[in-house]
Amino acid sequence: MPVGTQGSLKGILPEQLESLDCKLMLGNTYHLGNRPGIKVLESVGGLHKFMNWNNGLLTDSGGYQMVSLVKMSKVSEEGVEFRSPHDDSLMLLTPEMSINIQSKIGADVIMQLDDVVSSLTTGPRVEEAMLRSIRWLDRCISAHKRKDQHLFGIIQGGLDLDLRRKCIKQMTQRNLPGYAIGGLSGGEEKDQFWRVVSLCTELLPANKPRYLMGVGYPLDIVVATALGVDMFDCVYPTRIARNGTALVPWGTINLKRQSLCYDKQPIYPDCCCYTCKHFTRAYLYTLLSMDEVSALSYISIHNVAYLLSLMQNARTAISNGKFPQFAETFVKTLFPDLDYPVWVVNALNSVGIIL
Amino acid sequence: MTNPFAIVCENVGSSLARRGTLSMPNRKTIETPAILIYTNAGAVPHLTRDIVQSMLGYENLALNISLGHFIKFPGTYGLKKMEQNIQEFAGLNEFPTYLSVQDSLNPMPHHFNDKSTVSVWDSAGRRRIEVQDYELFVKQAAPDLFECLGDTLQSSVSNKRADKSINRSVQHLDNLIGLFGEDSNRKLFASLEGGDLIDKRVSMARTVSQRPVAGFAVNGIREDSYSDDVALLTNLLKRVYGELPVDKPRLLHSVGSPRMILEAIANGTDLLDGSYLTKLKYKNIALNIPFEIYHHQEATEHSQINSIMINISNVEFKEYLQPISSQCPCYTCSKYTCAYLHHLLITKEMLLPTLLMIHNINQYQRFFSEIREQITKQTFDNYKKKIDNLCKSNPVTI
Ligand SMILES: [Zn+2]
Ligand SMILES: [Zn+2]
Repeated sequence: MPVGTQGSLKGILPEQLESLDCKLMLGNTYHLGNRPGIKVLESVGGLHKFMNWNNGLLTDSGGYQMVSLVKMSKVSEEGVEFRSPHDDSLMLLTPEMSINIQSKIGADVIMQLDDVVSSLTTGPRVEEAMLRSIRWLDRCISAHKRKDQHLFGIIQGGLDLDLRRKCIKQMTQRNLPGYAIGGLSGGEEKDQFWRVVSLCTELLPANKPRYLMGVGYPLDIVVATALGVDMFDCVYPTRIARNGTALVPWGTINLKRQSLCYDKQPIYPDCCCYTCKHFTRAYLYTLLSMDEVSALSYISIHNVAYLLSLMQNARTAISNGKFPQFAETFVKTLFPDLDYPVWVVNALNSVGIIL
Repeated sequence: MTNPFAIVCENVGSSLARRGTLSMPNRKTIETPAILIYTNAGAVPHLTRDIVQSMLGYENLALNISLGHFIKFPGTYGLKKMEQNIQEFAGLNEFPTYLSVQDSLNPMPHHFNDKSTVSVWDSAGRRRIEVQDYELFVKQAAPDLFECLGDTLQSSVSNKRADKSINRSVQHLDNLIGLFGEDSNRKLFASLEGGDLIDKRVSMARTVSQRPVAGFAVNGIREDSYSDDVALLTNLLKRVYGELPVDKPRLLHSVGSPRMILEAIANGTDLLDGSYLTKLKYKNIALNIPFEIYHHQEATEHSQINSIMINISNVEFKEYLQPISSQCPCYTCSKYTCAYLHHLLITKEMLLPTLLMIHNINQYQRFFSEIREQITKQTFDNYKKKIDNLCKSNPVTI
């Protein structure tokens, strides 16, 4: 899922995204609640209409942004207390309010408000946050009235496998349409990261989608897919595009590199995206050298297309019973010198993919 | 030797407006008066090529490309090495291209020019261009039309400096005609100089009027020096064009507001550059030109909506759930509300300039199409008067 934080994807029009066969994108409740505000979104008939996006939308609860962006936020049993960035007044986001706001934004998948702590936090606060997330989930379920929206629970418990187990046991009893794995990708050791993901996918019901929040690097996505994750969000392809960086199977290339100034190849010759079909690296180099903004759009289009087709290839490989070969080829192309990171080797090993 | 330009019809009335066609080998014929869409390194700013093709008034679309955007990268050397012309390199497909020496948005101050070189801004800084450099670039890049090197005056100067500018520019022209031979007749536009000094401009026009060129480009006009007194521009164009053969197209650079465009066309201008639309984008302004001028427009609840230019940053738009113009068929107006555009502005999203460019270019493509229609119907003078009045009653400074 590409991320359209403020109700637009950076550098790409909705129609262009649709033509890349993108089916789901993410909007941020916290940002949208601030601007344009719920009143406008409600009167226009929801975010889909406001931003002219006809495919699926997912919104987060707003809690994560609040904790990470607002300096003065404070969590209590009632909800997340914070100072309004506009008038400095003290405000409160409760689980009920989060669901109410998300119902007005009108996304197809909505997330519970959870008590987020950094993955580096240790001690009783981790358990407290996990238990509170379960209590908040129940409040979200009670407040959830729009049955055309799927409400996902978010598994918490930090890097503590026992806490994760407890959380999953409790949350899966609520029989939700899907579950997210939260609280990761906060700077923890990769070897711990994959073990938590692996435990979660093992315990979560097989017939419900699993969404790994905040994970978006191609390597992480492929490994987590191997572990049984179904959904990812990623700001990565559009963020790096804004620095002139493009995704390729062997990593990235930066189109501002002067060695590309006469390079007649497309970004990635096997890519079928609009950019690769029509423009050379040399031309993108020239556009970037003239600070032409549409260069960033061209690279964003390629990067999003690249990740979407990576996932398409993964799905095809799974259908054909060839996922292990797919994962192996992917990792080998990324590390031609065979210097694989240990965590990748271990994670893939755990599901029988031997590099 | 065929003249690529033909006059189809002339306005009968007080104005000298004329409708024509400009044809180039392997390109769709451009109907004039027309606007050459401003590009940055061959790209319409903020628009990817698929958007240009699907969302603009594609039919009569010609592009203005600038020498400085390409002279460093890929440069003549790079194009040769890649065995591409500028169309192939920049993926311009079938769009007719006009190569100008200066970037209308960012022209080089004239004091950097000398006897044998003209300076332009490239991606890294200033670069001196000699006639031979330019010849090699043009021969490799192969634009459909190209402008002569000119010592273009960007501010007021003395008589002596103006004479120097004219002498140099005529010399560049004669050199290029010598180098391009027959092609000059089909592709080369002579650059007309003289700055603010009308007599100098007239004398330059007289000097080069019989040269074997495809057309004439008036350079060094700054719209704001004429916006207080449009009659000054009228006088200048009347006298300059009066020296030129009637059957060759005239391009006027850097003039672009609706009112000035009508003034320029009323005096016999055939082509204008579209840099003005890119300027509007920086100011978050959406055009709102009334096309069916004879139909009474319903007043809307929003005062701004009745003016010819709408500033998206106006707080009135925060909750205004209507498009910029309900009569505009463009992509932006058919899909988005003013509230959304205002939201994109507040959140500094990249999509706002994209949507504004789509709308504003559409507006101008329709504006020019309307102008051509009015000339054919012999109602141009009337149309111009109505738009003039509208612009006067809603003065917006850019
Ligand atoms: Zn591509
Ligand atoms: Zn429009």
